Amino acid sequence: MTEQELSDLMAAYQQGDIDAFEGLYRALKPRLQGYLSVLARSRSQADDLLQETFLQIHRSRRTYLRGRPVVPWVFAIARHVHLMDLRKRTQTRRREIVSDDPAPEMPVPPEAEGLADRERLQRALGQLPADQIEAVTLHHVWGFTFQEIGATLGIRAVTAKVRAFRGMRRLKEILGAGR
Amino acid sequence: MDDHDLLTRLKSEIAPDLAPVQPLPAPGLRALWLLAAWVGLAGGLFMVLGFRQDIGVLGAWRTVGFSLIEVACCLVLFRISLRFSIPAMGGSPSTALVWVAGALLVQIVVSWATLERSALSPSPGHEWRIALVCLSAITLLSLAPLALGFALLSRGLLTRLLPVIVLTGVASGLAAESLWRLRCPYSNWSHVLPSHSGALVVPVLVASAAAMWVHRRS
Repeated sequence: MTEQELSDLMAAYQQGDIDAFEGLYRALKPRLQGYLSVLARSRSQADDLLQETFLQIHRSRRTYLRGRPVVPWVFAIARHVHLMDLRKRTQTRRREIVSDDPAPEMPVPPEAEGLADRERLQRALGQLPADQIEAVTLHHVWGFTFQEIGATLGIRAVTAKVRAFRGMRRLKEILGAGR
Repeated sequence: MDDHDLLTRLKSEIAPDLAPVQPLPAPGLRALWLLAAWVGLAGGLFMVLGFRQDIGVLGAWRTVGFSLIEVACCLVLFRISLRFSIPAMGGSPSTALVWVAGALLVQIVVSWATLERSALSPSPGHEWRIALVCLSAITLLSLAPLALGFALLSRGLLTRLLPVIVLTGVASGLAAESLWRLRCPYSNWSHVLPSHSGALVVPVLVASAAAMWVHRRS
């Protein structure tokens, strides 16, 4: 679905069209699920965050300005939901039983797909620092420009570029070292 | 929960709250409310208290003109702050802080240019009392733009608190200072720096409390 189509759906959703919400859900859910799997520590946490993200999108729908790209707006909300959840977990000192809850499968940049099997790729991605893996997946998996990554993460575009570059270089080093 | 279950659950949660919503106007347009508030406050302040006694020496440019330059800086800061309440529109907090530093520098330069023409200072023994009057006046005057700013911010989604606190606090304080300098005749550094420039700290502290409240509500 193109950005224009997403923007039209958002406009209809702001007017109260629930079918437009369903259209947005179907278009955005796979990408959001992938992004939240990068941020979350477990599959169940990623699922919870996905649900909360769509609810926050609903509460914040008036903040979408017509003509602006929808995907960075949605991803910024998802990141906000993740950070709020992280803060709540830190404050309540909840301990996750991570060993019983499998880690979510992270999306793999196309440039890395041929370098190793799926299991090794997931382990390698898990070794990247959080800020690098975000920049790598946003740019190489979902095609965000560095300006869009900067807007989503609240950093400068040049910082986003450096993180993505270092992340891909590190990923290739890890995969190359394991051969 | 499978995909169909999640969609069904989401639709049932949002269905009761599907009234049409008006998208927020662009942050630049919304920031203009600050100008309206400033004009209103200016009208009230000068009808009651009048202008500074050395306005004849300074002239229109170094009084009203310089204050309007400060207000222009406030509008820029307000706009940037409002951008932080729109997901993916806020940009980098470090860039925002550069704009804040620039606005503070403008206030210093305006004060220096005013002092060049009129160097009135409080009479000896009265410095503390006058300092307290200016600090209190600027703090009180800043409450209106602060309240306005956070009323506007609360309609968005605050994703980065620290830049919003600093931007809105400094913008509100600077808007108040730009008004009060049209009343206060004292331009010497030992008065202006602590009592005018220093007064900008208080709105930032108030802004931090307001930002936490807005953030918890969203």
